[in-house]
Amino acid sequence: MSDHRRQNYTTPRHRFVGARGRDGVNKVMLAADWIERVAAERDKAAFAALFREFAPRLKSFSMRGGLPSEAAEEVMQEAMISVWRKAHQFDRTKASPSTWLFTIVRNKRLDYLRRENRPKLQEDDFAHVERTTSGADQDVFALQQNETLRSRLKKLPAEQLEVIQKAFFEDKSHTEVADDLGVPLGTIKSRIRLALGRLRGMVDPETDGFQGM
Amino acid sequence: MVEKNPADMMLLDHAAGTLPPSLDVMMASYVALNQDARASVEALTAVGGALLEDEDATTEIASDAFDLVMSRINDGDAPAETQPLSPVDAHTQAVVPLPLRRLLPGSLDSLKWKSRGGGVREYHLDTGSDGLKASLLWIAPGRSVPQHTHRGREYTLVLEGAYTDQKETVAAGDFVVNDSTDAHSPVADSALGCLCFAVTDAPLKFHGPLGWILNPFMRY
Repeated sequence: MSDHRRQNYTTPRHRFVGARGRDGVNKVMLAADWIERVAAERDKAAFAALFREFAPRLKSFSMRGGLPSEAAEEVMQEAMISVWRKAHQFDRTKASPSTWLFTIVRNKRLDYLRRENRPKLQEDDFAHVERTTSGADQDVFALQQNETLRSRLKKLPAEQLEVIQKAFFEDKSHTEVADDLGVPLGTIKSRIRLALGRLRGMVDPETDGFQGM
Repeated sequence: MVEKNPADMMLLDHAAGTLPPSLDVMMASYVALNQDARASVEALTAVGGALLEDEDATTEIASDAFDLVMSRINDGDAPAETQPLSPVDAHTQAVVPLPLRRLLPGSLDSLKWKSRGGGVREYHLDTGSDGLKASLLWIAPGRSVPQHTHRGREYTLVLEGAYTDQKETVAAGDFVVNDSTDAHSPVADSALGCLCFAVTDAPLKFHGPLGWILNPFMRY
């Protein structure tokens, strides 16, 4: 990472939780800095800060997926071990820290659930895919996107948020989500499409009408 | 019938980590081959990240969790790492995406293919016991798979060459789902033939004059 970016955005004593807007960007930059310090300097203090912020969330994610507390604890610990080992693979121009952490805990949950019969897939499998753009502009852009995405998520209608949350957190395919809610599969697909359209800014929130999709 | 845009919902399930192993490998392979699919999965994964940020930060974790993790790191405790990839020839490297290559013991030419007759060969892929059947299908140039329907669904990712089915051409990098109402008979490209990654959730059922001979072989 180049120095000018770190100087621009890092606020060392910044409070992480609940920050919004400009602070939200700072917050994400801070987490990105922590991961990069773990990668570059094996910085235990940075890892501890990351652990404080994310370990409870990672555990909560697995518990929502139906794992009992001890299993969720194990998945969380394995995920944090991976964070330490794979920190060098984190690229802030490619994904926000929470997105990167999400892929790690998602894969650890899959490993846990399918340890007996699942062929191992790793995040590295996508590493050969070249990125075409990067640099400081891209960096800021990715972070703004992250904030935009979060604010759009908060504005989703309850029934759309529900299907998205179930799809991501409850280890259920979209077909199982439909069964679970007792709603026709077509309705679930429409809700998911609408929700994803809104999250990508392609749906007018007033009318649910698609814009150029 | 052939489903329109079958991939979008499956890419969501792939990003969320809820697909059975066979289909997860298939979607990972599709993502490796297709730029639009990759962009979708990146966007969907970002949704997962945003949801993770909103998870409960006060969830109770073991009081010694951090120390445990640090000592497991120092002990070199590695939870289930992947086996190294078998070396393969240039052709295999060019046509088989990395996630799928993990399931191959060697180059395409060295695999134990089973002849299915009529210029069709099949190699069974071991994806564990997820109730699905995953295989590589090779159809020689200009040859065809006998007309068949599916009791369940058939998911196909074309890796090399192309095939034509009911006047539609499906080429390398394309992903198609056929369901049980769809009696089809794909014909491979006359020059290139067709190499497919196929997953079925029930055995194929063949029709036509050779169907009765072929059916017993397609059980698993």
